Amino acid sequence: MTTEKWIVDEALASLDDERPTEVDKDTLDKFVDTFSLHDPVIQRHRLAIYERMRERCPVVRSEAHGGYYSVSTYRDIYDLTHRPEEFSSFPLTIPPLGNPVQMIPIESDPPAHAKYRALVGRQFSPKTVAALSESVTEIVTELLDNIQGRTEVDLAREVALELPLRVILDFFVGAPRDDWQMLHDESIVMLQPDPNDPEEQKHEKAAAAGLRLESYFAGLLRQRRENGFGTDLISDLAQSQVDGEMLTDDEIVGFCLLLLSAGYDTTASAISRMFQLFATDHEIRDQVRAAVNDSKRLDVAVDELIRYISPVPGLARNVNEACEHAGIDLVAGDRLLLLWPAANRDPDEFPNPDTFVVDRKPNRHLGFGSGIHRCLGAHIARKEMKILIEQFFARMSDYRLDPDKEPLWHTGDTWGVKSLPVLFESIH
Amino acid sequence: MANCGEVEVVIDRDRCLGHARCYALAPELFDVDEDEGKSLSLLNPVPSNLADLAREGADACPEHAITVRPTE
Repeated sequence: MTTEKWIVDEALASLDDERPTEVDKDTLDKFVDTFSLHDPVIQRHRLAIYERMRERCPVVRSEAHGGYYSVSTYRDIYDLTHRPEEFSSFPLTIPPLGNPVQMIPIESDPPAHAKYRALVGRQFSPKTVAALSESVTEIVTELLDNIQGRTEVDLAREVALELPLRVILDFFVGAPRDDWQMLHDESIVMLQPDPNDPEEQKHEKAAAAGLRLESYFAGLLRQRRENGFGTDLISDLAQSQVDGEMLTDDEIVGFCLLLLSAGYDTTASAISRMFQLFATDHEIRDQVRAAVNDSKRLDVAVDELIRYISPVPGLARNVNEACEHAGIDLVAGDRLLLLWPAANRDPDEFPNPDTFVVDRKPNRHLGFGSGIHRCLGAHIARKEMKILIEQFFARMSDYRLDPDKEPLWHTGDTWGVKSLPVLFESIH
Repeated sequence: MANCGEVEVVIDRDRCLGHARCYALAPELFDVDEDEGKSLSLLNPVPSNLADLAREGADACPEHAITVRPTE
C-alpha cells in the first residue's frame, strides 16, 4: 500500500541532507534487488544503496520494471557512455516514457546524433549563455522581489521551479507570457508526479499532461509558420534541414518536450535541493556564501553542488548486440541504468566523496552526464544557479525549514523537492 | 632558461566533444570554433604566469582531451 510507504518517507523527508542514511545490509540488498527511480523509500536511502551497489559490483541487477542492470561506479559509467555505437540511448528511461519517435538529440545514436546536436548546439554555447546574464539576473531579481519581506515562503514553488522554466519559455521557446502559468502547471503534472498518487495514476496523469503540452507546442509551431519566424529555437528548428530533409513536426514538438524535461525539471530540482541542503547543513551553506565574492571560486562551488546533489538519478542505455561488460554477458535488448549520483560519490574518483569540498579540483563529475549526450544546457544551468546564489545571499536573511510543513520530494527521472516551505528569520 | 615554467597546450580534436569547459574556465587561453564546436588553444606556448590556468582548463575537460606539458 502506497500510504504506508508515504508515511515512512514523510517522516524522513525533512532530515534529507544529501548524506548516506544508516540502513542494515539485508535491507540495502532488498533495495538493490528491487531498485527503481519511482520509489520514495529507495530515494530517501539512495546514497547508502549506491554504496552497497558499488560493494557488490561491478554490476547489479534489479527486478523492477521488467529487469535491468544498475551501474554505479564512475569508471563503468564513463566507459559505457563513451561507447554509443554499442549502447543505444533509445529509450532513455526505465520504464520508457512510451514516445514512439526518438527525442532528438538525447535519444539519437551515432551517426545521426551529431547532426541533430549541431542544430541546437549554438543556442546553448557559453557565448550565447554569457549574453543572457543580464536577462537571467532580471528574472532572479523579480522572483526574489516576490518573496522578500515575507516570513513564510515556499522556496521550491516560488523560486526553484520558476527560474529555469522562465528561462526556457522566454529565451528558448519564446512562449507568450500569458501562457507561462498554464505551462508551469502542466509541466509539474508531467514531470513531478504527486507522491501520494498510486503508481498507475502517476503515469496516466503525466501522459495526459504530456499530450496537452504536445498540442500546445504544435500550435505554437503552426503560428510561427503562419505569422513569421522569430529568433527562438522552435523557429530555428522549423527552418532546419538534416541531410536535405526538413525536421518533422513530431521531432520539433519532441524537442520542446525535451527542453522541459531536461532543462526545466533538472535545474529546478538542483536548486530546490540546494535550498533544502542550505537549511539542513549550515556548514555547506556558509562555505558557498563565502565564495560569492569571487566569481571563479563560485564557479567551482556550483560544480561541487551539482556533484553533491546530482538531480538526475539515472538514464538508460540499451544493448545493441551481445557483448561482455565488466564480466557480465549482455544480450541485445538488455537495459542498463547509469546512476550518475552513484558515480559522483565513488571514492575511486573523488577523495572523501561524501564531504562537500567547496574548492574541489579537479571535479569531473557526471552530474551533467557524460560522452556525446552530456548536457547541452550545462552552461545555462550553471549560470542560473550562480546568479541565484549571488543574489540570494546578497539580499535574503537565513531561513529554516518550516517545522509544521514537511518538504515534499518527487521521484521519477529527476529527483527534487516539489514544495519546500521555509521560515525566514527576519524580515529583510 | 628564458622559457622556465612555460607550457604547451595540446588539444586532441578527436576526443574533444565540445563541452567547452576549458573555454568557460579559461577564456584567455581557449576558444570554441563556430563550425564544429570544438575547442582550440588561443595561446601557445602559454607563459609561466598562466600555466596554472592552462592546467585548470585541462583538468576540467570531461573527455581528457587536453594535455599541458612543459615546452622543450
